[in-house]
Amino acid sequence: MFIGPESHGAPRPKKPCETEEPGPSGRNEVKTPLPNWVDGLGSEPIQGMSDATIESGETGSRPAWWQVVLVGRNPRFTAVRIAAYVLLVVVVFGCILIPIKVAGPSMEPTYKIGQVNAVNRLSFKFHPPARGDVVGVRMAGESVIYLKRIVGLPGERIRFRRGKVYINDEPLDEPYVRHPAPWNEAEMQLGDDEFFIVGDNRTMPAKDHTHGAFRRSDLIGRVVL
Amino acid sequence: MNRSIRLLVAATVVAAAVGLAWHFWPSEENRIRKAIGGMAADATFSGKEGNFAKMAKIESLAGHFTEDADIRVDKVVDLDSGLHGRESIRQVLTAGMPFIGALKVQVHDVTVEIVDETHAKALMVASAQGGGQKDIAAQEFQLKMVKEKGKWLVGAVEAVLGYRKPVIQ
Repeated sequence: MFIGPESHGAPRPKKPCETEEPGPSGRNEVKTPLPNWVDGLGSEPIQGMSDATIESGETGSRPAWWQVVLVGRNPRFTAVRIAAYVLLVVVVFGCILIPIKVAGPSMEPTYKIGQVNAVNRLSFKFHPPARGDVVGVRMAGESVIYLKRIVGLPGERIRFRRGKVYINDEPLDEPYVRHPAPWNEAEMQLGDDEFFIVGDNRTMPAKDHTHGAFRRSDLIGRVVL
Repeated sequence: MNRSIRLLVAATVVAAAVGLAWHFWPSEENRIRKAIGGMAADATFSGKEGNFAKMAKIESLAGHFTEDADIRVDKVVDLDSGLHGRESIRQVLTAGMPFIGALKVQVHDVTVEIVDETHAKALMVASAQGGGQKDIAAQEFQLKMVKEKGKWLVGAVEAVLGYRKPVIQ
């Protein structure tokens, strides 16, 4: 509630922004453009000013608060904005990102079961798959995909010896692997279009862990997070 | 009634007609998809079924296969000989019945190729999740479907390995 000298019936000095117009009673009414944040005050007559009213100029057409909450001040603009958001989500999650939820332990401790992430379909358009990339690999489709790490590149020779990866007979430094089981596997020559892919969790026997040479076309993209 | 309302009503009627036609007169491809989905539903157990209910589900599951159905999963598990015939499938499932707890089986990314009027191929991913477990096992399978007495049945199942596996020493 605004309390000022007007409440005592004293004549109020006219401000530069105020205008005097003839009202319905024939007497002059003072119209003051009030800022939006004093709307609550604007509709309330000030004591001692019986011959003058103060109008905000917008009170009559203002939508109810619940309308503002539901559809905004401008429903048409809100509808356009919602449509734009929906289109953006459809394009991003339909063409660019695949949202995923980790459902197996093969990438622990880097990615834990239940963690949410996304695979970027466009990531390999600009940079080819590289060693160390965590990638999504398709099966029959893209509803269920493998989440693995690239350790071997096309044309390389790769083998596991006592749990350590050797690329062209050189040991590979893998700081992301903890407590590897002593896997021993025969050397594998990767083709021109093949990448060797394996999970970070190598604590289980090798036969229980999906890994091997996947074709380039099976790699969907890098994980985002 | 103005023009836009008429158009809206017409579009709704057409959409409903298409939906009904799709539901009541499915294409052969959709019939196969439904058969595969039904198989996954029969392989799903809540863990609360009694033995009779489990038996009924196993019977229904075995009923999805032809008499001479052939199951080969040697590429992914140590089961070199595979399973041959509906009866052996039923026997294996019945023998495993006491060990069946809660199990959720789902099929994903089913692609169907119709070979002729009575034969088709399907490629899919099947996932299985045990009750109370977060871990999901998934495997690609190729199915040979055969139409017998108007019903699509599974004639052969083969586990597919979409990559080259290293030789474990």
